[in-house]
Amino acid sequence: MMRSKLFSYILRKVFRAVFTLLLLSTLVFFALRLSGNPARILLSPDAPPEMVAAYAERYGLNAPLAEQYVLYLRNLLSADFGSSYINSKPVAAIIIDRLPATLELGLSGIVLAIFIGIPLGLMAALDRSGPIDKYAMTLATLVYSVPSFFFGVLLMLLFSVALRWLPSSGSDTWRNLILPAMTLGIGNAALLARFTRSAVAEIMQQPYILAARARGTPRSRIIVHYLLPNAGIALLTVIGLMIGTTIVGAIVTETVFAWPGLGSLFVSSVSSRDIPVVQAIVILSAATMVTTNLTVDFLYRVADPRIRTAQR
Amino acid sequence: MARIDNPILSLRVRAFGRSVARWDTAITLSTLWLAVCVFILLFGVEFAPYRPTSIDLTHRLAPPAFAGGTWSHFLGTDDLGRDVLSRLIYATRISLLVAVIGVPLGAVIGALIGFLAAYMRGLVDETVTMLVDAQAALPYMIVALSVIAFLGNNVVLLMIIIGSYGWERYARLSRSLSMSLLERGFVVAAQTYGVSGVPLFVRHILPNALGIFFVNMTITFAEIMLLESSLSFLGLGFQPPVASLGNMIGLGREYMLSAWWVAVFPGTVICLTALSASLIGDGLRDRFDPSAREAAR
Repeated sequence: MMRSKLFSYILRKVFRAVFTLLLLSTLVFFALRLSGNPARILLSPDAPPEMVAAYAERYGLNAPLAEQYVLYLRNLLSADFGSSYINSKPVAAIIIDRLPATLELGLSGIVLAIFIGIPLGLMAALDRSGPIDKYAMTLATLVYSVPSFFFGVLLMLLFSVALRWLPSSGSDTWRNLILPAMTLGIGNAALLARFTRSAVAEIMQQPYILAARARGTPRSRIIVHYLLPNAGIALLTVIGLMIGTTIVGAIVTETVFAWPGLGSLFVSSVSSRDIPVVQAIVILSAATMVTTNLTVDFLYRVADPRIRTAQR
Repeated sequence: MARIDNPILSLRVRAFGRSVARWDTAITLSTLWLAVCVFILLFGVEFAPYRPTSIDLTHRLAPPAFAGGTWSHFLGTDDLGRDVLSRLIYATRISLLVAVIGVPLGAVIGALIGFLAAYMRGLVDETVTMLVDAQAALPYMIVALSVIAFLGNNVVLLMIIIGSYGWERYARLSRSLSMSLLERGFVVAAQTYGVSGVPLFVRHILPNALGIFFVNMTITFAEIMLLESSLSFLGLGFQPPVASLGNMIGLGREYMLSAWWVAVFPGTVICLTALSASLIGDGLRDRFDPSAREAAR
């Protein structure tokens, strides 16, 4: 009985995730097609009509919309995103070429955020209204208020221009990774610290914590057995969000540091109106988010019995 | 935090001035800064010494008055000899206007949608969750960039894009808060007494969710400013000759070595404003969130 219920729940969630992706892909398709003739957007306004026609023919833009849509979905399923309007290379190849750089940067940023943000938030919450709380949270709020592009520029000014310790752009050595990873990671660490603090502070007021304290449970045991599991459930969402937004997080940071990943590719493709590339990155980033959300949902259900009973 | 031992004073403080005791320097400064911002928003243009677009090629990249420059350009000039102070005033006005219009929009819509989903469950809940998932599955920056790229770039469109920011987060937050609150004893009790629908939300759910909403609105305020300035920084938001804080930094980045002031002043304004909003939000939360108040006791 329980098992079939869980199974149908999982099935429903997966179905919904697939449906969300289909919905988004459809929205993307129509938004891009309805915004005008891509051939006319790309070519200069005074391009001869024959040229526009030849271009449209070459990229299948003349077929009826429904036909284009079916073709589009079929191509998506086989990861065929067409070829770039700019250099005619297959979009999938361009993306695979850029993906490792973004993953490297994103992963470094998340690791940095977790190792700085969670301890900081925990310490602040346990020291509520004390000096650690005050200074750590002021710092976190301060950092969080600095936009990543300005933070990146400031780091560059300090470490590349003034101190001359680290390179300001490119991706040749591991030293190039430090500044962009710091830009991404420290910002996320500040966010994570804030969330950790408010999650822990809220849990500290729960009756079961009070009961545990009344029983004389040691503080360390309360933290490890009562506090962290409950806080972990709350933080799952935030960390999932960070993983899910790897691509979008990379947009500004990669542009500031000329890091050759998907983010800087997206910005340059938007500027040059390279529609197949833009479309592919939009769908890829949606797929990343949907997959992460689905995983977080499952983990939630596995980790928190209260949600299981509430949703019954 | 000062302890007040006089019992009558203490009662007064507890009754309506709990936060007065914690109204420390940072919050006072934040309030002052936001007051300055409101002033700039309303009257700043009257005080701009130059037009933001007036070019003076004989005074290119002049330093601020306190860094070896002259008083005629207090915060220096940019690469075209435009007065940084004047541009800063106009840019601040644009960025604040965008945030002031954008923040309440997403919050109000999202909160109500989320409660209805939790309260009615079933099909309504499924539909809302699906819509929220669809929006949440596409990071807003990507939506914004795509829309700008394919529909072209104009101010009205930009305002609509930025104003819609964050509705899905409020909806999700409101839904999960309502769900857990609907399980709680006092809400169940209220329901057995016949309280239902929107009154239940306003009377019993909202007061308990308000604190978290305040924190989120301050975060959203900062994020909306950052969204606008990021777009402009990438050259895809407000276009020159309109001065926005983001495009001033984007321009200034290229002159970072020789003229730091072009980027640093607008950057500082963004940071100060976002910071003030967050600090005041924290203060408001301590004051209005009953559970936070209990914890501070």
